[in-house]
Amino acid sequence: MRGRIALAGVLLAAALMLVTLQVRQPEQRAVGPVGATLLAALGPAQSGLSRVSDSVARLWRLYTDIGRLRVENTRLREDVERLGQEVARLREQAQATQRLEKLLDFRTATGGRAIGARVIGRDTSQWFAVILVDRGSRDGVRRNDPVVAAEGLVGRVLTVSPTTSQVLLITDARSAVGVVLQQSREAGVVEGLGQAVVRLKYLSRAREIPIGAVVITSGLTSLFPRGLPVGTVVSLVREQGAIYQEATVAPSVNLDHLEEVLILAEGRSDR
Amino acid sequence: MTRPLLLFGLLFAGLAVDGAWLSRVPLGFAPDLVVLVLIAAAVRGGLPTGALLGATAGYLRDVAGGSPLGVYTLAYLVVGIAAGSMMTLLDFDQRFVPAMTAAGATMLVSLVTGGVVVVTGLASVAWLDLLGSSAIVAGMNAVLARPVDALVRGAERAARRRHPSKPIAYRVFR
Repeated sequence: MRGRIALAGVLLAAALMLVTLQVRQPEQRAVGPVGATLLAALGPAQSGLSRVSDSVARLWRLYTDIGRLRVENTRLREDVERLGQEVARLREQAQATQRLEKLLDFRTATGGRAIGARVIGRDTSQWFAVILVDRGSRDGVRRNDPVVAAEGLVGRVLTVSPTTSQVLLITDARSAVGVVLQQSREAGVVEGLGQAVVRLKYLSRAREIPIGAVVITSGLTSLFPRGLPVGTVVSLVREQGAIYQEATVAPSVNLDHLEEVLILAEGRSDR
Repeated sequence: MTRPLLLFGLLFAGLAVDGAWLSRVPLGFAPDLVVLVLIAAAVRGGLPTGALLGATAGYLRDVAGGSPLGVYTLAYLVVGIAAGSMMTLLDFDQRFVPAMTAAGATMLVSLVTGGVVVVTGLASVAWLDLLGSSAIVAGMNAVLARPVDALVRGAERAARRRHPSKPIAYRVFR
């Protein structure tokens, strides 16, 4: 026991002496070879640990940046889609300056509030083309509101819940959209086939329909504003004895890979 | 030599973690792993272990931290001696004993360093502020006391397993 107390006493005395020496001569603080060795060993260890913590911090910053960028990306996509619609509308306006008065109505109709929505679900059956989006009546969505993407018409709102909406795509067999050919102003109706393409019906047999002709909404029905791109003609169907000719139209929007859409909450021409 | 080397390694690791990680915690206060390793080893090892380890830990802290040599050497030595002296009084396996010991040791370190600073005229000490900040650090240390104690015990057990034929005391004091 005495030896242990003596050891403690010696160490205490040494520590007090060390403090006294250091305080009296602070400018001569010398850690000695032992201290220098300890510092030399401690440096790389702390450096390694710091690198680890820096990496973790960087990963965390990256993670938070991804979240921020996602939000920003969604906002920018909404902007792009909105601007795409604006461009399509302005092109139509430029092509048909003689219809200024009607185009003014169109601009009024489509220049309203557009609600950006994310596609959160899709009907899995092969018969129906319906998607679910994350906006509903709480956001101002109403039944039959037109739904568009940057490239053109997607469909219309089929059913609305407070927080979600089902959108009937133009490829669904229940869908029918009044359209015109952008160049010739030939009117028709685009009907869904339950396939990737749609059928353009009721075209006059007397008119030559060029492959690649752009089909846009006519605005003649109350559901869709005028001038929204619907698709392009990919083939013609002229049956013997039929009064009208038909065309197969490829939708301008890739409906299989929709991620975000715009709901034209005030875009219907009956509002 | 296994145990002293092991304890030195733990002190060294504690010092490195303190400097590299805990000092970056943006709270203004950081726990003191070195003192936790010190009391965990001293309470189980007794007075000689506490004194030697305390002096070593304090010297390491002085060297690594840039404080006047001897300040933390003295403070940790006092803590090591106190913890080692209480080996027979403290049952470190009881639930709250490590936390309470850690809190007490932290306050003791602050008081001794504050006293040394005052006595030597290195700086003036606002005791109320010092006690307040020490209490916060003591709380942090109290939370970490049991995990660090478990780490020290686990490391010692691991060291023992490598030499099952020799008792730990033989290797420490031979």
